[in-house]
Amino acid sequence: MTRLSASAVTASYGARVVLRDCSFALGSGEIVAIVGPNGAGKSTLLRILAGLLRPKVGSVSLDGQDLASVSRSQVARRIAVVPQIFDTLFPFTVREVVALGRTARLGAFGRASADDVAAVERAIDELELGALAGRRIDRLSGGERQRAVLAMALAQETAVLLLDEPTVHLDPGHQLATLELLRELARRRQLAVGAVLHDLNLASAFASRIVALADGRIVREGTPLEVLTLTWSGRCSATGWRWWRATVIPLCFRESPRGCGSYRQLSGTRPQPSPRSARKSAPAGR
Amino acid sequence: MRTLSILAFLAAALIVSAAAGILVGAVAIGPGDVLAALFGSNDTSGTIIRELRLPRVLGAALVGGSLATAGALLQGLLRNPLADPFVTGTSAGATLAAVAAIVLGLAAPLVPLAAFAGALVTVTLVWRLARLGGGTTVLTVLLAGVVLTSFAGAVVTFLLVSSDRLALQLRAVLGWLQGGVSVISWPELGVAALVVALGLGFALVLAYRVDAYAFGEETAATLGVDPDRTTTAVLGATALLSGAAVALAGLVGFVGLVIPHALRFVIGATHRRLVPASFLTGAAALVLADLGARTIIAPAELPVGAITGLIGAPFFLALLVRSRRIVI
Repeated sequence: MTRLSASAVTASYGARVVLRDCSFALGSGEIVAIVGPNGAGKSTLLRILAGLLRPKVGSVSLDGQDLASVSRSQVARRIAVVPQIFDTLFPFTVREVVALGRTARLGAFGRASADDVAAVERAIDELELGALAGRRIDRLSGGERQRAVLAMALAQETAVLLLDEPTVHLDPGHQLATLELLRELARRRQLAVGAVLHDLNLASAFASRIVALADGRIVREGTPLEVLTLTWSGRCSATGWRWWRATVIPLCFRESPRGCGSYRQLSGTRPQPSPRSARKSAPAGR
Repeated sequence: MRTLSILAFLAAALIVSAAAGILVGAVAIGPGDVLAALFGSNDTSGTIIRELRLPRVLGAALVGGSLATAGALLQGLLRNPLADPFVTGTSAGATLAAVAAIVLGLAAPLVPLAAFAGALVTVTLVWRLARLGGGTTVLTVLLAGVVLTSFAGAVVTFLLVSSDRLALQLRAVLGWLQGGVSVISWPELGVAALVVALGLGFALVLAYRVDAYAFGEETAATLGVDPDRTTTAVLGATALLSGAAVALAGLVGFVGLVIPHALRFVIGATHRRLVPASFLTGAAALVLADLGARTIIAPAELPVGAITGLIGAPFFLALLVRSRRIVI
């Protein structure tokens, strides 16, 4: 079921157009990876989907409702966003940060209900933050902070989860564990997950669909296999080919955390990464 | 539970400071006489207590409490531990408006209103300036404050020098500008108390939404806070509080900066706790500072702003040095 969709969206910052005619749909239980080079408009697409930026042309709908007509606090009950930047100079504890996810549901003067407390504890458990819950967020490592912010978004208990490069500060073990958790959540809670990802290996391993952006346009879209292999039968524009040549081919010759050979993995069986063993062998665990 | 016991402790500290403020002064009055004076004896000590010390202590408490609360709100909103009404130029804007109101010969009750309007304009300007660069960086806010303070100071000087009508009031205005709570009348106190109550009420209602600004305005929006409305409301509460403080005592620096900042390390960053704690601590601190101001060189008096500057400026400098790696 389609939860969140953008139709023929064009967006700009001032006179600079950053997204042109993009259509995008996100359904329950699927993980859609948004990939593309820097400046392609990935984060802008995410901001449009989250209702933080209004499209110049086109519209975004959330459960069939026009997103522009939904109040911020109603949006926050249905869409959670994990931001790319999450530094703060204030000594909030991890539990307080996770509790921020309940802001839209708190009573007068910020009173928390039993539901709020339970949701916060569940999110803390889900990201294994129990031992860090009382620690100050500004004293944690980048990876721990990232998990705390992810827990904050989970505490919102929304049907849609949008993430802007959720693995960028994580070591390989935690990258796999985080994406494994997202896949698990998408399956178990029927969450609709949209994530900007840089790592095509991770995108191909975890996403049910990949949307590739270049120069503000969606150049390729489909299953990882369809997007990352070059076919002449499918739709393939000139920009699509340029993107494929510039991004996918170098990847095939690159040392990646899981060894070289995206080609082999993509053309053969789908890889089944095991995050448990990867986490054990991760050099920078806790 | 923990929150309540912290607040109870701080309230007790405020009561003790206020008691000290009433008991101690240039003229020695025994505790028994003070008690009698409070309940209406008509001798000299009664006049001293009821017309001088009590309004002064209450005024200092209101000024300190509102400055600290305004500081806590501004720091949370701008995500900047070095912001307060004084540093951002909000107090200077309020001063300019208040002096203009006096020069124009407006009635005394209008002066706090003018101060509020001046504070609102300045704090909104600071907010806009701070957002120009995308993020609200620590440095932009301080620079905006420097610019606004110098501008307001220049205009105030111009008004003072060029106005004939002020020749008589010049000394009073000068003393007021430096931050003094020495000449506070009951009606003045009543108006200010109403304004402060309004601002504090707003602050308490908004406190938990200010928490959501911890990771920036955009994340606050995704957490369910309407950024435009909340920002406007918080800026309005800040203006009410700093306007009232300026109308009562002129420029009192660093209370709004130091109190919330220090409290955060003791009771944590959650504004639901920080806002009321800042009010109580700020009130107690300024009552004590005023007590120092009138006893250190008794029978002469220092403006209370001199005391807070004396203690606050080095503290601010230390913070600036410590946070340098974050700023740049």
